[in-house]
Amino acid sequence: MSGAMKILVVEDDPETAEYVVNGLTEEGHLAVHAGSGGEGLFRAAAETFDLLIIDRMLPGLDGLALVTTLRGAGNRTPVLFLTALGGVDDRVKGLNAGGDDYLVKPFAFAELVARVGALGRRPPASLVETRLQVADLELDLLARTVRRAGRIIDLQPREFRLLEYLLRHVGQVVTRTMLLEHVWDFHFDPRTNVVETHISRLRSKIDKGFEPELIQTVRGAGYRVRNPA
Amino acid sequence: MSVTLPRLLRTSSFRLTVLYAGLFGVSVLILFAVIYWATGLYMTGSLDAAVDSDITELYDAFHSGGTAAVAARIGERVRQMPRGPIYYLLQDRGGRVLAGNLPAFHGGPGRFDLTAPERGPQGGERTIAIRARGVVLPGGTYLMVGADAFPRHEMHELILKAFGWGSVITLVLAFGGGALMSGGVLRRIETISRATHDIMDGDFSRRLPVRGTDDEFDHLVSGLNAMLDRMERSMESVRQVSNDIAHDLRTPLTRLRQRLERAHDRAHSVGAWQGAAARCIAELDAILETFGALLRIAQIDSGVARRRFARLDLSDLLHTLVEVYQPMADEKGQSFTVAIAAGLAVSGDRELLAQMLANVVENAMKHSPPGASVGLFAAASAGAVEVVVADDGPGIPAAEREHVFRRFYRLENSRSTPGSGLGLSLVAAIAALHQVRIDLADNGPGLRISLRFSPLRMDERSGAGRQASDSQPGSTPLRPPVLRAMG
Repeated sequence: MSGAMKILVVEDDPETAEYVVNGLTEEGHLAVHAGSGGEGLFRAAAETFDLLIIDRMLPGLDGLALVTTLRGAGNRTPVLFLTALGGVDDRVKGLNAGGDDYLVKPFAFAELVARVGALGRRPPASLVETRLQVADLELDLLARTVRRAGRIIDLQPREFRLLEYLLRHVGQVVTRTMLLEHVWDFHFDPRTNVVETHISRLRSKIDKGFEPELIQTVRGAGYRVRNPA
Repeated sequence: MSVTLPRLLRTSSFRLTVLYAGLFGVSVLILFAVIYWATGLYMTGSLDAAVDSDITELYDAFHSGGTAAVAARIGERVRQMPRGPIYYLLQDRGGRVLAGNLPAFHGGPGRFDLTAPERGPQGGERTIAIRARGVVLPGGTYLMVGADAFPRHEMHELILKAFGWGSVITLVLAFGGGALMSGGVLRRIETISRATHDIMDGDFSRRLPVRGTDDEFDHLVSGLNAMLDRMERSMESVRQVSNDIAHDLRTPLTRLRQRLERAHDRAHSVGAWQGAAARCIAELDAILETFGALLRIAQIDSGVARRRFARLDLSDLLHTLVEVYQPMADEKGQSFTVAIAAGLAVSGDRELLAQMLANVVENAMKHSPPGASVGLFAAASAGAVEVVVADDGPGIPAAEREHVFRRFYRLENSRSTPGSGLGLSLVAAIAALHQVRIDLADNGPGLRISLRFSPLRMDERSGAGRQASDSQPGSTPLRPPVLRAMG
């Protein structure tokens, strides 16, 4: 994992906190733990973090209020909600309060790592990209065209979005659920292998007959577009 | 049922009655006072008129014959009617009584209310009230004529008595009526309250009695009953979920436990442990998925999501689904036929509707063999949108169709396909939330699922220009999905 981040984990359950902090440390991040909402708010306001991972249900100051307070004070640090509240309403509430992503417990650690990676290196909002490029694959966001090694590749609109999402997170692992949420706006898990099917289609269009293979499968986690450069 | 008095006195309707009775009493009092005063004025006026006409006559007598003529006229009158109703007094400048049947008076001219002693017919003394007028005749003789004021007194007595009785009757009526009225209201509230206690004690099927008079109470009671129905359904679904969890999660949990136990007893290498752990995680994920689906169904059943309903373009949503599932069909060698009318508008939650439609489409693809045809059709007729998903797979036997929406229900021949048995229950829950009617029919062969949305209300239709024109007759008719002829 590239790009070590300083992450604040606000979580009241010691076991979960240890699991998250240790896991993130193993991934090369610097993870700091706060055991209550008040402590979390204090640390988040006093220090600079690259990412806040916040439990929704905390004793005292709850996660939602914590983030609302931070956002109200102008703190724009990315926030990932980690929560046992998995209802449709809960996710919308979390995002409305200023959360950037929402992960429901229990979760696979690979999922958390992938989402942390995606949040930590988000480009500033002011930066508008018009072109994405990895190796000899070029994506023109204005003309909506894709070229590989100079050859135009014909993609359907949804395939274009899928590739765009992968290229925006080049070098990072992107999970099935992240793709479902961001490419198809599906906030539920289809029983069938929809994502696999679409990835294999996309592969057959942009990787077949080209070297190197850009879309990699990361076992037990998801997919990654590798930047060979 | 008995309504005890203190309770009655505390009711708001009784208090209101008392207030009304008080206000009514005051207005009656004012009315009587006005009558009393006006009557007195009138009676005094007529007494004064009688006195004045006598004085005029006596004045005439004075002009023609002087004081002696007046005294003679008075003497004659007193003889004719010694005990009223007109009384006279004529006294000279020194106060000596010259004629009349009133005692000497030491006042000036003017009108007076006075009392005078009178000898009764049986000889006893009595006091009479007199309305009198005194004048000084030329020469200084004082003349006073008085009229018996008894009729005025009598009238006042009569009015007071009438007022007394009137007040009593008014108050009795007001309080009695109030008691009756609040008693009736209180009894109805008491029945409601008793029913509420029964419900609180666990009799959840109990409903509050509706009288059928269509009054405010009936409105309130039917509103409360509807609320109870809704709550009973929610509780039923919660109970259902706990039963489901108890029964259907026990099997995979038992399996998980067995695996862990076996690994604990027999796995001696790191590889064996890792394998066992991976299998256990997979089993746990399946359990969590089932658990999540059950919670989601319960959440949908609770109807909370209805608050977030908005008008949405169903055609757009269906096209997204087609994009998602077309490759799946291709991969399985199934043909996916699609006919979606443009601009179909429904009211609902996009996320839930996407899940419902995705489940139905997945269901058709999953249970149909390779080479089968799956069709997705959507159109509006008479303002109502209908989505049909049809396949020519094995279908569902007619006898089993009503069961497939039950939780954990799986057809015998689909037990081998992976799935929790909750997909169609979720579909049913989302459909119920959106008031979508689901019909399962034989597609000969295969299954045809029809999802019929209820028409948008007028307020939801605003700004739906395209949608409105689509629901006109003559727009795209729903293509009959005869799949056998295709693919």
